[in-house]
Amino acid sequence: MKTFLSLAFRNIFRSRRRTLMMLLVVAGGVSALLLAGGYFSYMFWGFRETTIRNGVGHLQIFNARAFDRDETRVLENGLAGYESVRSIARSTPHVTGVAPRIEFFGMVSNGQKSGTYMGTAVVPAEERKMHFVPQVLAGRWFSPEGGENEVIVGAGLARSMNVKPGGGLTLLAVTADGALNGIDVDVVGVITTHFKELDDRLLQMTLPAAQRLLQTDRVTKLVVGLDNTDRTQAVRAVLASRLAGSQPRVILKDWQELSPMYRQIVLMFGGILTFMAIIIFFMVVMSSSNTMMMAMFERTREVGTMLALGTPRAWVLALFVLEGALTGVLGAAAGLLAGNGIAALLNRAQIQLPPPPGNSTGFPLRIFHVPEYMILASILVVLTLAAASIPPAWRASRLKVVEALAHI
Amino acid sequence: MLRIAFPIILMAAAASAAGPDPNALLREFDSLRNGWDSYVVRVSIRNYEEGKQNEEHLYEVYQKGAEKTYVEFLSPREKGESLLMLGDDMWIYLPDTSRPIRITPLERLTGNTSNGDVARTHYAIDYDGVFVRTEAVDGVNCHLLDLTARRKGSTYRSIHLWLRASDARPVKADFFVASGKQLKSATYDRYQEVNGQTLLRRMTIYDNVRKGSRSVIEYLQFTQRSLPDRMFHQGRSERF
Repeated sequence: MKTFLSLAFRNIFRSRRRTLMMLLVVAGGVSALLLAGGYFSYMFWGFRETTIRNGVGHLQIFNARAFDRDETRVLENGLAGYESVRSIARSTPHVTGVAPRIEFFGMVSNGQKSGTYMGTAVVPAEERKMHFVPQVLAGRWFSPEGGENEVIVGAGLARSMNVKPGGGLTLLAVTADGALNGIDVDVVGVITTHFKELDDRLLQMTLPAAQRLLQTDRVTKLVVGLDNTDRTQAVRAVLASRLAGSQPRVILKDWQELSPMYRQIVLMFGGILTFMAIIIFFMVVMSSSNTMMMAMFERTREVGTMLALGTPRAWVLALFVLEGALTGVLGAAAGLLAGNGIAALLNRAQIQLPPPPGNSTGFPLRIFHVPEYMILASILVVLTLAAASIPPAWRASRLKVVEALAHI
Repeated sequence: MLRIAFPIILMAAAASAAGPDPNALLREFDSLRNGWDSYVVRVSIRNYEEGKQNEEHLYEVYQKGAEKTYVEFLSPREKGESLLMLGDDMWIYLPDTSRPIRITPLERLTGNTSNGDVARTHYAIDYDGVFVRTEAVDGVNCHLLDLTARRKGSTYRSIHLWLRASDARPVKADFFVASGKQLKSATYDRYQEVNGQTLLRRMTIYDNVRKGSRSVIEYLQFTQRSLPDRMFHQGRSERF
């Protein structure tokens, strides 16, 4: 066996230039895949964290009824007595904050004109703890000294209601038992979510103000933030068991269930990456097999000699396939080195990329080192190169000895 | 000879009286609901869903001419709310707030009653009437009028109104929205003489979409009274 290996190895380096070409092609393909895959991984990670930071949080706790049927009255399926659930969640390890929220619709008036708003009532201190503060365009966000009647409006809503920080609005809503109610509020800030449809309707207010407007002490949900996204499933299991006996029954949802867009984007870009990988592999295999076929052609006399000396045909086949595989191994090794090296250099360079859709600031280019991609690329390259060397190897092993010896 | 002439003469007579004047009819109709130029009426509205009655809602409606209406909400749960109509505009005022909310006459006041059903009752001004035909409704000869909204502030886009041929009392009506869909219908149930004026005392509005849902409007007490202009002021200042 060892002779075989050393023979294959020495054969490879007999034509150094040709081997170098093949190594370059293979290494190039592997590096390209690692760089593309690492970049996509970074994009997925960034999108995941953005989704979570934009207010979805890591986990959300609802009244179990909320998913059984629709409400006919606001907060009919809301969470009552949420303080006990909140303290249980707060005391769970790795939880950084638990924020109660109320979400509802209503009408808003500036005295001359009425519009509709999508109200989100928050506890500002808790939101701030989990970094859920949106981008402020004018005025300020809620402050600890601020009053209960402060509101923050989306940019589109501010424009249609013709209101600026310092102005006032009247909010109208239907209470939990179906009556009409209204409160006066003071606008202290204008924000943007970078989604026009949200900016046109969004209105954030304090939890006490919303509970006064809706005449209820319930909330729509509790948003739980963790210190590390990778711990989401583990903490979810712990929290679920701790809340198992609570009345009313609660249900937990994680950020992936609550953000179908994330999954769709990952699927879409995953598909693109797979498509790119196939193309790269195709090109690597095509050029390598071309080189290998040329090499095989030139070694016809050598094969004839081996056969004349009594080498079994099977050994000839095995030798060539082994050569192909070995080239693959060397190429993969080179590719891993080059790919990770280039990635490290690029990460160091801190290249600024333009802002993605929905953001106003750019971000630095980073390429992740993903072990799964490295292993996958290496194995695939070795296998495909070995496979690509089979047809010419097969033909070589089937040569007629006399014709092979007489070959140029 | 006379046998042929008679029908011809009859037809000619009928043709010349080609339908009564719709505007005159509408003015008659308006006077059955608005007995005086300036008055106050207490209105009770009871809503029935599937036969079961929800609580009764009480309102005090102050009407001055055809362009100014002020409605005070008297029910315990709605105390402090009020509605103001000036020309084509309508607002609702909520207690403890400093700004009015602009609303439309078609929006619901309560049950199947729209704001306009209580606050905009001068059809001759809001609608153009066209006489369609005379037909019998429950054995009573009625003129059918097709009303089309004439102003921006009119409650409905069009109304089919059946008025009694003899005295222009409304018998029933169908109400349509902009798409042509029929939203509701109404029957005018009871009349009574008040201070020499015949006035509508009760009408019922039926929901065309949710059968089994209806609102009964009763006009409990009419008082002719001269009302000051400052009552119909859009600002939040004192009205009384």
